[in-house]
Amino acid sequence: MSAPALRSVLALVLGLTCIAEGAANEALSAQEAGQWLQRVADSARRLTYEGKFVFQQGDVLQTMYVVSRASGGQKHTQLVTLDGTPRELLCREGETLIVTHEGGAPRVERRPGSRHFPDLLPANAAVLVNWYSVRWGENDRVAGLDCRWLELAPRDVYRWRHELCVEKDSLLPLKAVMVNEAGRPLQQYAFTEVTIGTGVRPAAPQRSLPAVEPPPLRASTADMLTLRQLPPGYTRIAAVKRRLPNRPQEVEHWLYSDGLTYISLFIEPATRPLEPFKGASPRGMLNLLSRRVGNWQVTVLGDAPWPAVEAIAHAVAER
Amino acid sequence: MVTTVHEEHDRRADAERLSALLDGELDAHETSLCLRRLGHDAALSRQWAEYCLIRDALRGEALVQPGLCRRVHAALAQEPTILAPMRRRSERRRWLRGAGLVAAAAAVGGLTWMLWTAAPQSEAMSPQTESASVETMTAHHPLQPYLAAHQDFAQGVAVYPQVRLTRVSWPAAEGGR
Repeated sequence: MSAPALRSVLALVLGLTCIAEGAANEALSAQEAGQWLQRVADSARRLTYEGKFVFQQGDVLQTMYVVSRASGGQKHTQLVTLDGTPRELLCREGETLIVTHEGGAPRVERRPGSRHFPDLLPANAAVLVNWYSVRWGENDRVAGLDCRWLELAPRDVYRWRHELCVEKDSLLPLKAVMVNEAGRPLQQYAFTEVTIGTGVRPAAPQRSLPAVEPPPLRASTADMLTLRQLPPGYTRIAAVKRRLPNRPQEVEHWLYSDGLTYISLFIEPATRPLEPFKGASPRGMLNLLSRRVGNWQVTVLGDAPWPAVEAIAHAVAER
Repeated sequence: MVTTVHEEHDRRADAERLSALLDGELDAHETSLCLRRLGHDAALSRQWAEYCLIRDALRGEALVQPGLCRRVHAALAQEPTILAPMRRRSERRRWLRGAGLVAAAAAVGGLTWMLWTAAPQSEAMSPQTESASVETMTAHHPLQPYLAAHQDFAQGVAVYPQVRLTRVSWPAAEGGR
């Protein structure tokens, strides 16, 4: 082949590569994005997998074993802490049993919520496209498996960026990072080893667990306060009355979410004069604002950007 | 602007020492000195935590040398943290001076909170003010159950279920009356 012809071929190949890369990094259309998000969300629920992952949040590092088995539209997930006090978490739809092995008989607690890595996207993940711009990123390799980054960039200041490296064939997230507005990772999960599908060890026979106390939750009955306006995409996904340590009476716990960001609102009678105060964990992963509304002390707390916490706290008003 | 030059020089020296500490390049004596400074300098301690995070992020993994950052953070359990009202009312703002520094009873490994005043000109972020307003954060702190309750829903299962707050002061308007 002559030199000019060779150059033409090279130019063509390079040009095509650039187009492919360019297309790959373009934001996906809402429809495509919604479909991909839903497939990724479903993969973490419908697949059977087993592995170990590390979790990092600020100064905290934790290693966990996870096995999740799906059958008949249900999934049963067991997580075991590999550092510190041995603790086992049995996740079912909407609740978790926490079994702590320390000293004598295991202690069992029932907790609401069953969100865990790698099942981090909400069940109706497609709606996230309204609040996040979605695009495919680079190829990568995690836990020895090929994966590709799926990036969810917030469309406003009320949420943070999320990145998931999803396994190429199964779409199971192998790594998940939450990044703040300055581009700093706030929280990361990553498999160090994982087996997907065949090869996962069969479930052990059901053990009998000590009796579990009834859930310390009751449906909310509070109608004394209302929220005038929520940040875009946030809805109230839970409202319970619960008894907490150090509280003489039950407190109201309302939970708001956009599907990826979670913000709690606690309401209790104000028993003393209160000046509003705010707070954050050292790297801003958790933000908090407490203020008095009428005869109530309202505390808003979330793994969310300050504007979202502030907006919810200031939206609270007496009916 | 001699002060500024000195400050800049000190900052660079601190950054180099932290970097060396992270890379295990300090000898025992230097390590001990550095840790002691970290324990008393909130800004430096924040910088150290950021270095750990950046190092992990750069390597694309979270657990290269898990012991070091954790041990240093254990040493930093004494780091002061403050809670503060949002509005400044200087005549009313009486920090709990009497409380002073009480030994932290809680186990290490928890989450440290920093709460500050909303007034941007506030002095609350300076280490001096933090030191002056520190008291022990016990397991009975009013905020702690909220954190644990929130985590039930948020990322409950992967996060340490019991969040410990260490050393948070409570503004006089909150705790004193």
